[in-house]
Amino acid sequence: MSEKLSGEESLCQDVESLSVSKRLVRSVSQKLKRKNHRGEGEEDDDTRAVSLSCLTLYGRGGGCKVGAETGEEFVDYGGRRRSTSEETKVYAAICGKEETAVDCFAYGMKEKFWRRNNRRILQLKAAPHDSMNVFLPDDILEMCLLRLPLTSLMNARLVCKKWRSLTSTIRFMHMRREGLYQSPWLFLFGVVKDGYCSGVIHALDVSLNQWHKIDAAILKGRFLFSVTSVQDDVFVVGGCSSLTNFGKVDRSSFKTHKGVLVFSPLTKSWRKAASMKYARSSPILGVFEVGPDCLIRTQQNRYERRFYRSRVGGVSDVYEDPHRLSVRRQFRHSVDGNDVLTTHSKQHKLSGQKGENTCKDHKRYVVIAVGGLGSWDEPLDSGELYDFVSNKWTEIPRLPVDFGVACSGVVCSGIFYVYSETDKLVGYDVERGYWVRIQTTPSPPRVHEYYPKLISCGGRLFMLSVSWCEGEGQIGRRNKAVRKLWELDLMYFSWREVSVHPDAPMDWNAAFVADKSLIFGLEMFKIFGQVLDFVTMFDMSDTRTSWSHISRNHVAHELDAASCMTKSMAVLHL
Amino acid sequence: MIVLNSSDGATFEVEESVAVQSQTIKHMIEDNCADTSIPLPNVNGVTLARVLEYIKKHAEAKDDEEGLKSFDAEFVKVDQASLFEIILAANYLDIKGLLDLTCQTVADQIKDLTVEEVRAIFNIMNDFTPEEEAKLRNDHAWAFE
Repeated sequence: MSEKLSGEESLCQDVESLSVSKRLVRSVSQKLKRKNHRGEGEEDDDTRAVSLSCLTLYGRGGGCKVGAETGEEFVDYGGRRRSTSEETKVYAAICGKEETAVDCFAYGMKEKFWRRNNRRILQLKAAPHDSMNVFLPDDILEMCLLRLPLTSLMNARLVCKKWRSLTSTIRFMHMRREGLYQSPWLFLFGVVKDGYCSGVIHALDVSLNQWHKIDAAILKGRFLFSVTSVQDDVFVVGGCSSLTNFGKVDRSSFKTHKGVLVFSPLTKSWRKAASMKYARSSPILGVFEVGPDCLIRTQQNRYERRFYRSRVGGVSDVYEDPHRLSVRRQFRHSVDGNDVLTTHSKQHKLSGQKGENTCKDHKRYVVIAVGGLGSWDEPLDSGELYDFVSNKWTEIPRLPVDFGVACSGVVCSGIFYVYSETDKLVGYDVERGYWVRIQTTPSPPRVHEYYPKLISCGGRLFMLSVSWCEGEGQIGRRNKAVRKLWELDLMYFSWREVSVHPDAPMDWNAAFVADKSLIFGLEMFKIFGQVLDFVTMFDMSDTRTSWSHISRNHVAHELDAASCMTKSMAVLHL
Repeated sequence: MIVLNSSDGATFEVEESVAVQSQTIKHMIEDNCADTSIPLPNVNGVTLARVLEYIKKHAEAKDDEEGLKSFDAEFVKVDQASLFEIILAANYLDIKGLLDLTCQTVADQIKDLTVEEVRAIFNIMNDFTPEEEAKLRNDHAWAFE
């Protein structure tokens, strides 16, 4: 009798200790039920498969205690050690075959539990390591984990040491990239809250449409920097900080930075890259991928030489040098004691770097920064080039003389195209080391305050430009502004309209980035006292669809309107 | 026609043009190991039947993208143990499409689960110490919000 009493006491305790696990059992089985939605008969199998393993997991108190005193098959839990750790021990069959009133896990499992024979229970009765997990050899497990989106992958790394080591190798991440299991992530920088650039980065996981916040104290107080993505990292270049009111967006007294920071979202780590030669805020950035044996020519500015060749729609200019003497002269000079960046075939590590991110694919990247504003807010026409291999910035020829102020630029098929506020287009050939003035059909007429943004994807060059167009159905001619996507034909240098952006262009500093075949746009503006944000996407590979809205008003509500001016965005595939 | 023998002695007949979706079988045929029948000691009868169902469907309805998609979706609605058996068979028989499909299914199942739930499903022991686990969670904190 005393046995029975103590049994009941421990029964109550056990039921309580099981309450968490019951929830877990229910949530897991419900989730699987939802996923494996199918006809009758099989459904039971599935829930039972899950619930049984969980029952054995959490049945350390003895499972179905209610009928404990009735059958001899019931396990004697009195002698069992109760453990609170996550260690799972698969206990012997909890309940026998009798149809006793079992009400322990009252989620309809009772019936399912008893309906079939106990073959499954006996299967699970084996040693603790005879789990589903063991049925899958490591290489197959790896194949499954490869396909997880980033946030789920991070979860997988916490499951156990084996899963962690399987998913953390460079080879694994490489396979993930090569197998195209990554999905785009947008990183929003430079937001201002309560007057402060707090250095918070907002990241949007496009595939799951979830926003995440990343604290980046290293960016505190820095604003008007430019960002660009280089493989798995984000380059943060230049910018300003207020001298008097540290942390605030204060342009009355500020200093301009030469410094370059590199952010690795995958490891949530920062490192410093070499600083530029010139301090710049809002420089125009471009990223080249070059072959490992490429010789990159740069030119010292000693002679302030400004070689340029003009090309008019493919027909050679009458002033062009038919014997290419000027070119020969240029090359001679560039060979004479100028910087020529070569590659070192063996070395892949930069000093002070973890080594995880460099050249694992034997791809070599080069970043160019041109223009921007200098230390006295003067527009700059200088440019410099950063080589990962040597971790150095080297000057490149200045922008052509009458180009104007650079407002946007992007690399496309080996040329760095830069657009000016006066609608001029030039291109920098990184391998040959000179600027080419590009004559195009007239640029789309645009609203003056909205500077166009150049973007490139799939080897094609595009521009987003806001222009006036006639309103429809209005009395008289009412003009409205509309943002359009244009493409520049790189053979004939003509502009062609591709699509119209669905949103009215409220943000003159809208951020657009492109990666692979997707173009992303983020607009942020203040209206009716509120700051709103809109994220849109254009899929270049899907000719049927146009722009789609992928996120609205998730970030901006807590931000200052100044964020509209200071924001910048980068896209990565993670 | 190719004859396949499962591990538990069941026999299956299938057209060669269909069977060669399995690279393993294809190589066996090319190497002339397929005179009488091909023994598949790593695949049991039930699983082999399912796999053959898959490759037969994919051979006959090759161009019907929509139809194949819905077939695939229904095909993977099986219990966990069967799914794993199919994965192992697809791996052994080297049938890329089926392997991709089943691995993706497993990934989709894991995708939305929490760490504890994954451990429960796979019956995995957590071998991290609480300190280790806390540190790991902290390192990737931003991905967990």
